[in-house]
Amino acid sequence: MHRELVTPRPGWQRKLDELGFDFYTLEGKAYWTEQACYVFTSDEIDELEASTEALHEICLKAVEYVVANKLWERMRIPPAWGDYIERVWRRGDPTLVGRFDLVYDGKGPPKLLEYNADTPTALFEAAVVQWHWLKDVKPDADQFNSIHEKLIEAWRGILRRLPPEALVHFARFDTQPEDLATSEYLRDTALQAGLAGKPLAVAQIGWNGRRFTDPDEMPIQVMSKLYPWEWMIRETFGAHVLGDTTAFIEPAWKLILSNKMLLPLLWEGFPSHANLLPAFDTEHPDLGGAFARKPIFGREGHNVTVVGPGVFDTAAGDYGAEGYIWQAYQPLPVLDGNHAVVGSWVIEGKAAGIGMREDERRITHNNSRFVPHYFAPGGDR
Amino acid sequence: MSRGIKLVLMGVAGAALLYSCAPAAGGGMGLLPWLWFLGNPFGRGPAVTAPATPGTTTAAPGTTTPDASKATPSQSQRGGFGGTGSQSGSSGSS
Repeated sequence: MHRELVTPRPGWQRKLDELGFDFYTLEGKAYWTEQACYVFTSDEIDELEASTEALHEICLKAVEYVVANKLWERMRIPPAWGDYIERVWRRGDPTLVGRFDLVYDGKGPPKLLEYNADTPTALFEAAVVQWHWLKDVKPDADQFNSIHEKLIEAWRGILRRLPPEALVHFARFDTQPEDLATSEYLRDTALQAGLAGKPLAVAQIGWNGRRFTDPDEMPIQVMSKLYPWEWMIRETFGAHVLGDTTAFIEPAWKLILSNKMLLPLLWEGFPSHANLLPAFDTEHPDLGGAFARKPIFGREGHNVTVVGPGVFDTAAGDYGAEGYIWQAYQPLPVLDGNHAVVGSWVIEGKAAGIGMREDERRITHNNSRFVPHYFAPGGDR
Repeated sequence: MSRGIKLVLMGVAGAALLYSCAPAAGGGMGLLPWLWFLGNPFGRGPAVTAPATPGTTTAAPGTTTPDASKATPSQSQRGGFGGTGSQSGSSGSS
């Protein structure tokens, strides 16, 4: 794995606009950059793919463990939600998409930093935008990216479980460009799979005393939401979810996987797993003196603190009320001064592709740059 | 009561129920009954109909299916979700 400097395409902004990708700058800084790209060997891609699927498999075992042992208090999930989560888990309510954030330098196995299992973004960039970049800039190379095809196939599987007239509502914050793009892209793939989809803002979701409704008073049967479960469960309408009249994508059992308490749980269940870092729900000698402290319900790197010999970084935020976990610190590889993290996508339990993010800081946040990647088939660089 | 009278009464009751469910009735429920009383569709097992052929039933953004487009006259409460997000910004995980 290495970082390669490349010349941006002439008129690259126009090309991105034409794709509907209009947030290549965020808060005045570049969010998308094509002045560089990340290059992998096919063996490295194989390793990322295998590790991603192995991680997802043990994550599902962790869900079963939490449900079977009713570890709601440890997971900071209200016990009233336990029965609901167990019901949708046992029923097999479908999952569509998630993203592992991995630290990987090509020299050792990928290590799990966290699982964005509930509301992952940077999906459109990974599935579509970097693919078009590849076709323009490296047409003879390949890219670890079957996200689009796998999403459509996953929606077809969901369609088979729904009545033929089913309508999926896509709830999101319209004012957040990244959220909007992710939700609209999901809706587009659902439409391509044959489903009907209708957008709505999160604040427009209604409750008529029996069911969730949209602004036209239409009952919401299936809601693809880009709104975190840990927020929903404590808001006014949260209790109505327990009536189970609406199906959610992602389902509520994802609350176990998007929860940082998953990391100590995995380490207890699979100690010394090649793709895991030691993690604990308190400071622990096995952390080796260098750790990342993460809020149990945190987002976008907020309230993460990295501590080690000669290392300190912290990101402000409003998270942490539920407590923290401690994970052994594994530095991200630094290439040309950039800390690089691999976002590895999981669709229906299968590895589907990666998106690279980089930042000058150790802690990746929502504005960290997205950088395209490619790999040379056959293992050549 | 004779069997004939019972059948007539049952027929009248059935017709009244159907009428009450029709959107045009105004005071009716405004939606086909199953849509109201069935729960989470994933709780009903696989749909009995064959899946749509890919590419042949793609709906335009914002379009709806016939049954689902029937609105109810009741007014829902809104704003019960979104409070945390409006304070915290993006609700996605990038």
